[in-house]
Amino acid sequence: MNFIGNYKNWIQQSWIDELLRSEGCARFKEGQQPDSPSMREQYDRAIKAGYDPNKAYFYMFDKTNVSFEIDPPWLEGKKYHWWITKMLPGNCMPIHVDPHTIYEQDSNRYWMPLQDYTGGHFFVYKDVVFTEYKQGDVFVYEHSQASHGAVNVSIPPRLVLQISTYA
Amino acid sequence: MKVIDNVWHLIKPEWLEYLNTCPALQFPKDLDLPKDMTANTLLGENSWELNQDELEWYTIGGYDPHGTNYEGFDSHNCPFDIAETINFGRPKNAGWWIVRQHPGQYMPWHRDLTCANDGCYTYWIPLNDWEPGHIFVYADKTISHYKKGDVFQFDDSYEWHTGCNIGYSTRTVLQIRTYD
Repeated sequence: MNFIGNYKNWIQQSWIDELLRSEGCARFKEGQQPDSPSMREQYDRAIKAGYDPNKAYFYMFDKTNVSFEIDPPWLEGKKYHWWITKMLPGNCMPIHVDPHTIYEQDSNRYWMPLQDYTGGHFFVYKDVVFTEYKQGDVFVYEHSQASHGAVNVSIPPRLVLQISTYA
Repeated sequence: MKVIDNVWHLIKPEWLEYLNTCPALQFPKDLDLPKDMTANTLLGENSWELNQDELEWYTIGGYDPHGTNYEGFDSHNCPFDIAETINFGRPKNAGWWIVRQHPGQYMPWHRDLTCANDGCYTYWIPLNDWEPGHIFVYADKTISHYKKGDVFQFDDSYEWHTGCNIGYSTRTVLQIRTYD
């Protein structure tokens, strides 16, 4: 993960407020069914390991279920899509590779926490747990297909913006 | 937190057989916690006194007191006493417990309720080789790429830490605490 810069001043408090009071789309429970071989493989692996397909492991937001626009200033002129994940205490996302980075051309993955780090808000990138980050820090994956996951074992909900660019 | 030894040769196959196959205490479900989590009282021999960190998990954190976040073994639910074999030179002042986490299980970020200093030592010993998604964080440090039987000694027994499993296989860890 390479640090790009800090864009805290770009984040609107109204976004945070809306994300905290809205439920979002509960994944895996309400998520899309696997639509690619790589997604199917990871999904099947998770179910076989004991993850429950009917449980809410985290909550997803994108342009279809929020009232605001996301237009990242560090991505001017690039094509991108974004999503925000909310994790309540005890929520987690198993280690995985983002399926879309496999079939999209020239994919780059960006990760931006919408809050300062608090103990127990863990982002796992390959073999490292990210801690001590600040709200608005932007990191780019060294390799868009790097394995990653997350867990919230803290008290406050955890909010992270994620963006993929493509050619 | 540093590696000081590897004690895999002391781990008995019958212990592992038991730990891999036998039911464990389900935490917090089996603790019989009071329904009103603001009541921090001992209600009987099966009840549990919560420290301040634990109280916050259930009161403001929203963790489910009746779910299973992880599983545990100690001398009360095992037919063996690991401290008789592994005690770091303090056979009469060693306690142990084992945490087993299936994929998706976790322990909230916490400090152990223990003496902070003056001869209290905490040892963390994984019983599986590290795999992606097997998380242990001590203060701000990630512990990974370890081998089963490695002995990590806490610099401070009262430091914040936790373990989680967002991988694809069961994660089992032995912890030993000794007192002078």
